[in-house]
Amino acid sequence: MPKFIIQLGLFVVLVLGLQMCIPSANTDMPDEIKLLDEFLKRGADVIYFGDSTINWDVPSDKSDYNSPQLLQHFLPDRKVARISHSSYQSDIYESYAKYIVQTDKARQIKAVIIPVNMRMFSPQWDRQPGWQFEKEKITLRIKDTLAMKFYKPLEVFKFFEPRLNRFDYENTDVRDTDQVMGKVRDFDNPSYRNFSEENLKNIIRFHYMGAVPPDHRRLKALINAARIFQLAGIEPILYITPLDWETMTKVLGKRAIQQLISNTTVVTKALAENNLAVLDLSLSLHHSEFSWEEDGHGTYFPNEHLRIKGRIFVIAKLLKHTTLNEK
Amino acid sequence: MAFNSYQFLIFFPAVVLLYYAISHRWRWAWLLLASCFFYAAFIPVYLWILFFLITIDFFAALLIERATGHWRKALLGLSVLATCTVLFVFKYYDFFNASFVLLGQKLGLQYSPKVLSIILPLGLSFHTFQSLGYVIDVYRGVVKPERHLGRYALYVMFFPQLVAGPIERAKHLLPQLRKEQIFNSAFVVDGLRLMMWGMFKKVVIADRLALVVNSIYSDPTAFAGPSLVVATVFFAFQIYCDFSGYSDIAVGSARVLGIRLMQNFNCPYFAVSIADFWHRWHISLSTWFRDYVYISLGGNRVGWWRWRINIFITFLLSGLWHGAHSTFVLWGALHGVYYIFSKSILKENCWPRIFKIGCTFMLVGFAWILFRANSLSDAGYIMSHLWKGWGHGLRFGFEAGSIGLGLWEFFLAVGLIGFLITVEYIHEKKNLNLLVSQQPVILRWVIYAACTLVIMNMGIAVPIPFLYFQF
Repeated sequence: MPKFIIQLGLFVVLVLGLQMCIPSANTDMPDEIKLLDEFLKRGADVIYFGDSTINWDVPSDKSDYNSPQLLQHFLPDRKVARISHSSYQSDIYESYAKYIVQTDKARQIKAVIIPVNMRMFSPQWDRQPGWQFEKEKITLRIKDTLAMKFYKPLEVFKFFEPRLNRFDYENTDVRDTDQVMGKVRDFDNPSYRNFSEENLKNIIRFHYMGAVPPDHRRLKALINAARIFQLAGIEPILYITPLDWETMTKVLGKRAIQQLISNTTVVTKALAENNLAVLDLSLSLHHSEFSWEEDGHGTYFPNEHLRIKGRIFVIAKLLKHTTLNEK
Repeated sequence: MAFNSYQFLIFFPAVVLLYYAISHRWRWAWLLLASCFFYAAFIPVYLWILFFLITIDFFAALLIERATGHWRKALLGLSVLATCTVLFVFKYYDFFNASFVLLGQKLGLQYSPKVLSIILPLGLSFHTFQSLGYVIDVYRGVVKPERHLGRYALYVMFFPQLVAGPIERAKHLLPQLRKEQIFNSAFVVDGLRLMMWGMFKKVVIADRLALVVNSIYSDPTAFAGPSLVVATVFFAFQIYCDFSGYSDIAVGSARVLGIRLMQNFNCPYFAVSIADFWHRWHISLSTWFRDYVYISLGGNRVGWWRWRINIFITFLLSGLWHGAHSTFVLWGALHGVYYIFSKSILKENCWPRIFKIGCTFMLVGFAWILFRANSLSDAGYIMSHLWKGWGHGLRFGFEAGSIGLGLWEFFLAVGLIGFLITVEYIHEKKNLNLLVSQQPVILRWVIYAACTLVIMNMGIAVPIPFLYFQF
């Protein structure tokens, strides 16, 4: 047996050695990371992170400018870069923060904009296996190391797969305030996106009505991300994205607003305790500025996607209440 | 955990090393613990279903041995009922309810049952069948019941074959689990070679073909005949490489531990008839149905009509075993019709072998449409449009990337199918495993290293679960 183990060991060493000779296959890296490298090379000084709310457009809008493009329009002297992906959340921003601080030694980046979408605290977003961005997080961690030689094999053998699976997701409690009202599987099922008054009510409860605890992992990650930037001398600009509070009130009554305010207060307070400011835009827009009713694809999914007017509003607020205008 | 995961690459060597390091007395416990860990990596709570089934069937078998007369039959019935109830609740409850709702609507009756929407426990159909087979064998007196609960649990839960077979027989596996396995490097190398080939078939061939198949089958109405034919042929090879790849890894990893599992595939696409195909495809399941269903129904020792009905029922149940969906039931039924027709009408020796292989492949491939289609209407569309849209030549839509692979990748996939057929052809003539093992050591190392590097660098990264995991 020992002889066999030595032979097998030699074979493994041979294969690993040969693998080292194969050029790194970094073409399989997530596009956003490649884009970030490109931006860093081109000297971007503002990075605008975000999920689909910053670039969703609907056919009835006259312009399809996304939020970073709008910001660039208003700040022609600055170089604004967009790093966004549907359902990006604070966890991935934290990984980006570590990578940027480590890579951008010259500190050409002066500010980063981080939208805080309140839905990311819901189990629908927080526990969704496909929205964990493990590949992105690991890639950012190993990018400049020897491990990149094994990027493809790691991918083939599912190293980047989310640790959470569908079963974990479906068995997560769903809360309305502090009350457990079922499991995810009771909400996220085939009938979930069909239109009915009952479904609309359930979706809103599922997405927004759970109480956000001060130690929520996404909140911790948000604080970490912002602190990493702050400590490195990069200004983190945070804002809570607008929510369709009118629909929420129409469906659930005033208690929807109360819960929303309670949750944004938890977030604002936790950030303030870490010397971080956040611009709260959650209650600032009317139902007409949201585009979800027009999203289509045969689904019915109330969310935070904005029309162009809504996006312009957000940018105007950012310019007014932050230091972005200052050189 | 899946065989093609990094977790398995760590888990397996650790299990093997400790297995050979400890005394034979404790090996069953170590393998059982490893099997629990292996299964728990998917959904830990489902281990309770396994424990429940194991306990029921273990004690049922002991009681059956002691009982006489009607009691034996009653105990067998109770055990089968318990196992089938678990299978029914987790796998078929929603399907039958949905069928009753449809029937109710047609008859103008109101029926609105609760939908369970349970995630199917992995490999449920496999280990329930293995468990059922054991109890029936004890009842028939084919095997003596196992008196060691731990060893019986290992027989059901042995991790290489736990989630997708081969569905083992008690008289084959249990004695091996009792016997002390001595480390034999030739046996271990044999197992590792099989695992490597299985992995190659899964991550390099099957998953590559899956990209095309998935994109076309997800919306078949967007494609014309040529693309539908390509997807259907690709699926025939995808499912073969996927499932036989899994079986090879299972058989190979068991062999590394000194245990021989039954062969599950034997070059099925070289079959010269449908009957021959079923002697070569998913052998552990087809023999299970033969031994426990077909023979129980009377087999061929009955009249002409009854024999045909027995065959048809067996294939119908085999279709239902695969999945709680009407497409699977029809797939089984179609194979039943093929089988009866080929046995009754066709004379097997009147055509050249290559013609018979081609015809069998086409029939099997045509039936795969039902197996793979997402719905009956999709299957109907594909079957009726295979011959349409050829006037414009082979437009596969590469420019739009709509079939899931670029031009170069597409031809690579075709080349890999050619490679597979060549390897299988050689294997049919001469045992390939033996052939490789007879080569000089340098050449063998070159082959192993090349194959490993190809798996590592040309494997498909998109997560595509083993197809038979869903059963």
